[in-house]
Amino acid sequence: MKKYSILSVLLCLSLLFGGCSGTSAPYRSELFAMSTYITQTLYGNKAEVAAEQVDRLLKETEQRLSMFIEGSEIDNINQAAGICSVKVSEETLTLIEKGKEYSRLSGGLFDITVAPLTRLWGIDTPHAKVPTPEEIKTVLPLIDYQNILIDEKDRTVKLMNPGMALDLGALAKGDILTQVKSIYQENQIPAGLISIGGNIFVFGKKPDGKQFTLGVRDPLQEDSNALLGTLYLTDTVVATTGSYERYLEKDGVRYGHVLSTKTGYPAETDLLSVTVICPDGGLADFLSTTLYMAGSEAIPNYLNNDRFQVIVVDQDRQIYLSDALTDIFTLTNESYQIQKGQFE
Amino acid sequence: MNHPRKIFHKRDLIVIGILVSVALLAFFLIRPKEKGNAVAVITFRGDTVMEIDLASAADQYFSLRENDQINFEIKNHQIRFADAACPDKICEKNGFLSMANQLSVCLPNQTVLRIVSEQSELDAVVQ
Repeated sequence: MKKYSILSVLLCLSLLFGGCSGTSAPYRSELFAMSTYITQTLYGNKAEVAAEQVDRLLKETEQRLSMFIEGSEIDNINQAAGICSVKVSEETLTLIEKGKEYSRLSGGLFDITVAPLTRLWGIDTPHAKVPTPEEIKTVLPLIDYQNILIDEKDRTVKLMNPGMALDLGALAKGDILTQVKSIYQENQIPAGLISIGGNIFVFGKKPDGKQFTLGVRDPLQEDSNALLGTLYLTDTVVATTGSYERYLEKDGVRYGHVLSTKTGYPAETDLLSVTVICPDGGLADFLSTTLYMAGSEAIPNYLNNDRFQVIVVDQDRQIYLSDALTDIFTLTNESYQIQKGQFE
Repeated sequence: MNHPRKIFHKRDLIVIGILVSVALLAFFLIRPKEKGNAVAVITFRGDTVMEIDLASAADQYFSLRENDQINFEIKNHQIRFADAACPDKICEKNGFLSMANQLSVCLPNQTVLRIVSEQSELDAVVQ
């Protein structure tokens, strides 16, 4: 009889749990921080714990690095511009050093001291305007990464001229992903993705064994859900820059938010968007902005690189892909064409 | 004389009855939502404030109770930010949403409109 009792219990337990297999839904969370919208989609038993830890990290980082928060380390540096050096945390110092190095590598196209210019235009703010040529002329001399004085030994930073200002916003969003990755690893999260304002870090495979599918936005549509194509990826970061993102429209003219540090006006480029796929989030962010500004002339040198891959869309609706992406990128929009061979 | 052997003892039947009841109850309580139904989820400052089944939703124009400066429109089982008090109007430019995982964000008002469906092939959009 005991044998039957055990059998009956096993039978019923199989009834109870049998229907639950294959339904491991991800944990989703959202957060507004670092001046953007952040979502996490995580699998695994500790998904909620990991997501909360990441949320805390992002909020703390915003408090430290936002130029809009009074008393943040960046605000302190900006307030003391032309006056004195400011002591900062090791993390902030490292990021400023990285930003200065990226500024140098881009020949000043990407410059972490661009803040006075972005403030002047105010794109995306209630006081957005097209500045006068005089206003732009006044602000341009303030933009020069070479005038950031860094003392590694004393851990201090000084902006040499009054009116200068740092903006690490774009760089911080990509760079923080390295710490986010560590949190996921510590919590043994097997798979998931985090989107920080559209820059995405994706890792692992979903419980059904499939890779994550990411849409690449159609740069000519205002609808942010209109797609150019899809990418199947894992264990990397994807960042995009395009003129569609944010702009100011005045008297029928559209002014994009990516501003040229040379002219003070929106960057003139013959590209519609540049998407960079790279495990280093900071580098992905930096490269997408810089290559977009540099235009098609610069692309041949960056199309096939060991450290990153690119998807470049030009104004003729031609798409140029790194060779490594040909098997994982699917064009879904027939109004574009993938150019094979040499970038023209 | 041998009595015929019972396959289940009375106590077994009671245990089976209890466990089947628990299993059925659990099945109805924790089973996943039906696949395929596109549901519009509106969050305001991180909290879900509305969930709308687009398949059965009538055409309408409504404001958020939490912020009456944010207005939505449902038309032909699609939904959009119709009018939002924000400087950039990026949320309005996204137009009508109806497909799984489509997303529209009003950053200044910290309001998100997302279409949720189990059938989505897309996990996120790079932008």
